[in-house]
Amino acid sequence: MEKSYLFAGSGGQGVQTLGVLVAHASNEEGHFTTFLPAYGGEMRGGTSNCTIKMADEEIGSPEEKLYDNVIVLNKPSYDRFKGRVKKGGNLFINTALIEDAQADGVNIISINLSEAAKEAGSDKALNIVMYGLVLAHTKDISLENAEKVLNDKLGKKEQFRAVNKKAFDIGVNASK
Amino acid sequence: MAKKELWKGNEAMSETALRAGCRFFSGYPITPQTPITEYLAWRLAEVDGVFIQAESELAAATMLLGASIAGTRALTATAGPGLSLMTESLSCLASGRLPAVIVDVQRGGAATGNLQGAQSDYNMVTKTLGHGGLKGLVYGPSTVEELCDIIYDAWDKAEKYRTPVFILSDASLGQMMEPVDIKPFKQLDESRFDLPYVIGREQSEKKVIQDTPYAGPYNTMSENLDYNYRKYNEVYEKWKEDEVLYEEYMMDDAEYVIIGWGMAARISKSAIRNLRKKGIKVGMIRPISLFPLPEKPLNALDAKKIKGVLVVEMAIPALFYYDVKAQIDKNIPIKANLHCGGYLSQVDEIEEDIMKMAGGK
Repeated sequence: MEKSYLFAGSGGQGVQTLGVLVAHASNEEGHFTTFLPAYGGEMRGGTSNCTIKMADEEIGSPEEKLYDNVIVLNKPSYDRFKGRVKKGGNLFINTALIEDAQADGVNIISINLSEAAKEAGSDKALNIVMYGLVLAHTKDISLENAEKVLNDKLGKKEQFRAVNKKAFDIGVNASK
Repeated sequence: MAKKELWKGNEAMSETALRAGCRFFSGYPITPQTPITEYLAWRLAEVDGVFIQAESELAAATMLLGASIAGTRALTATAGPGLSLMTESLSCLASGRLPAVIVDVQRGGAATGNLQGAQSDYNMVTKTLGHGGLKGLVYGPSTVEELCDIIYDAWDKAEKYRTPVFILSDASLGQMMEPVDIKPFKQLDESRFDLPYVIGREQSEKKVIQDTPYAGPYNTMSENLDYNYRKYNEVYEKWKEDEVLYEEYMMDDAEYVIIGWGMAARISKSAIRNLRKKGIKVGMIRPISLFPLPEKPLNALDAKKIKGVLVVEMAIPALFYYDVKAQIDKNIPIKANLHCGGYLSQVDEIEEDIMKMAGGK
């Protein structure tokens, strides 16, 4: 087993946090894991992205030309990375910012993150909605481990824990 | 087995340095080294260590020299142009054969270059530390865990041989998160302050640290340097026997051999697995110690068995490639797969190069 993920969005959408959560969840699951952030000039506006690989053996390259899962949170990221999905792979898009997504030979999984985050109780929780949706859809990580990591990493304050739990559940339910 | 924790390379390495006994860090922040400086700024204070953000890399490396002579396990880290500024003191460390650890989180390109990973500082530290032609031990790890393993033992080696130890990390390895076991604290005893190079605690105390014809390693009489450096060279030669580190990967039946170090080597592992699925018998020799270079396994490659060697390296022009080429049987075809300036080695290109060697399309 070797699975690859590419997460992208605009700075401030919580893309790196989303990637870090998935990486920790992968480690919790017992997979070999790499998390590689794109850094430098890209952090000042524009797109922010990171790649994750999880496998049952030591991981060589932390990057790929094509990914099993590409997750894009805004239009510039969609334009830049929509061609980086493997045939038969998954392209997760945020319909609040990406209209008329099209890609041949890949599964498009759509969610309006703005509405979902509002429903969860905080605009900022959009990355947690996507966290739930992606992991529930790919099934590379058990939802128990996904939720445990969410609590371990972001659950120190009660009020955030409740919002994150709701956002996570909305994402999970959206995958059904 | 306890579950490993996910750590960023820079931070895992910093924590491990501390646990290896490092109690002094002087540095100047520069991407992608900055997280090391950031981490040690608060963490060293928790273990009564000394952290100094210097006014420049030049000063940082000079402070490292002082801390080393005072008997502390001392560390500095830098990247890109910061390394150029440090060379004056690197030369001085090598000249006095003073133990200290230097980490270069390599970034792309010359001058300011960019912030992505590269391997282009290879020659600058494996050939000589600064001016004067002297050496230090140099390592090129390829995973976060290996980065930690190397720094955990770095001061033991540094003190055993009285030498600077250099670790070539890079932007990718430093920023990447991977599972790692953080090692326990090493217990150091007071006897380390009796080490011969450590200045006396009493101001009047003088120590003879080398049996040079004239006093000390910094005496500039020609006879002195000639005598001294011959002795140094004996130490460097001994490293070739005792301090060589490398990994052989899928070499048992290999007909094609990839040779690389650090990030380029781990990226090549993905290509090797893909090629093996296609039935191509390819393996890898991965030097972990870059000085001393593992010459024996390279010399041992048999032209009757090995049909081609591909050196994968993130430097243009090639640097490491020529060191490998010098050790390989002239009857084995050898090629290089190169990228630089923050452009990481590419799995598909490595596969293509091996396929071409194997006579495929």
